[in-house]
Amino acid sequence: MKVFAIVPAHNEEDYIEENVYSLLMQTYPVEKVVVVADNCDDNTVERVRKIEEKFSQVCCIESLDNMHKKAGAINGVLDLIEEEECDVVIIMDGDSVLSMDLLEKAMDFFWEDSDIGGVCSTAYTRKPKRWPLSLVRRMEAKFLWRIQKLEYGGFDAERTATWQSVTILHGLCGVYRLKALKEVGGYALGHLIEDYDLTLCIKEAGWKTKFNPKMKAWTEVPLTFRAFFRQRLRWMRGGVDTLLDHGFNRFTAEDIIHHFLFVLLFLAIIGFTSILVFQGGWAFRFNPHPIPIAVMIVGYFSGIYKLKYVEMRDFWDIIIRATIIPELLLAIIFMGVRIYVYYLALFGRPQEW
Amino acid sequence: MPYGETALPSTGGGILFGGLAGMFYGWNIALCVIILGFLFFGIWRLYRGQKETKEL
Repeated sequence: MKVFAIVPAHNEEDYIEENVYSLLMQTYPVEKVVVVADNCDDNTVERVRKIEEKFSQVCCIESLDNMHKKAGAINGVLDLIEEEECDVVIIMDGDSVLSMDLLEKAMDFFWEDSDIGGVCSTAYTRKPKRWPLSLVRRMEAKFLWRIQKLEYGGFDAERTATWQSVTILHGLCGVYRLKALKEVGGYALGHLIEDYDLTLCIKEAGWKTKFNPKMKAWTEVPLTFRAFFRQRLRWMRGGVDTLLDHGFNRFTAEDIIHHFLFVLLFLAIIGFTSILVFQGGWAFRFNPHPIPIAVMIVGYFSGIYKLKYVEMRDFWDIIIRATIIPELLLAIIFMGVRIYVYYLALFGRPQEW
Repeated sequence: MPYGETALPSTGGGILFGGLAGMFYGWNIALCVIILGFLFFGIWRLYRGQKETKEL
């Protein structure tokens, strides 16, 4: 089976070389590496051109008039690839790097089962090459990097639990059968998170989507609160919009049920908090009912257990998880963001990328 | 990139909800049972996934 790689990159001069080399060093050969420099105004193109001079299979395309971000950049290349010249396509972010045997592990799935439409890797966070110089910015960056490192471990735990039909073939690194991509018409344009929509389209077309924890990939994560919340707002809004587009079916059912349950929980939490605030005196008596206590204990220890999925976990990862407070605060903030997203989605408010 | 584990905040949400629910009598227990069900279902699925992916 022949494999092509597509790397959409928007201003990725810091990471693009490592990215391309991680594709060239795969133990399963990549026939062609196409880097789509999408509206770049840094040195991404120059850096890829240098590699292009040394390796004939590397090719850099500049997309200067693409209005559809990552989806438009990838579709432009997919349109050029014929099914006769390639069987499998690996699509990865410009700021990601791969383990050397990632493709080999992915290909095992495609050889074994002709119904596999796509396979995705783990998602680990890359430690930044340099931290900001200012003390406040450095503390912000270090906190966010660590909290996302823990969070991404949770994502991998969830992917392991659903590996037979993974919810999202994430954009960080997905390996797809070209036939499946062509059948669904590539990426839908105009989506805030194109990978969720593509995964649902592939599943709805009858293909299988899987996860292999032995395929390892690392990515850069946002290191300022502003960028972090912008990204999460985009992910959450994109998720809700995608579900609204696809409606209720057997592939979206679980996610939709979770959204309803979340609303129920949120209303209950608001109710409890209101009673606490307005009738403070008696409400602070703790009711030692075994069921709520069991929820707390099981929730706590399942979080501790999921530390197993955190790559290179250290002392501070364990402390943060064990003391609960930072992640609990984040969960409360995300609840607010999610409610805001429901408001935006239900009233059709525009959302920037 | 991944959109999230699920819309249900498993750890933080479970603790927050369980803690708040624990301060009241009676009527919230049904919701706690649902959350507990989801938590156990998640743990069972993770256990099964771990076992199956070991072979890959």
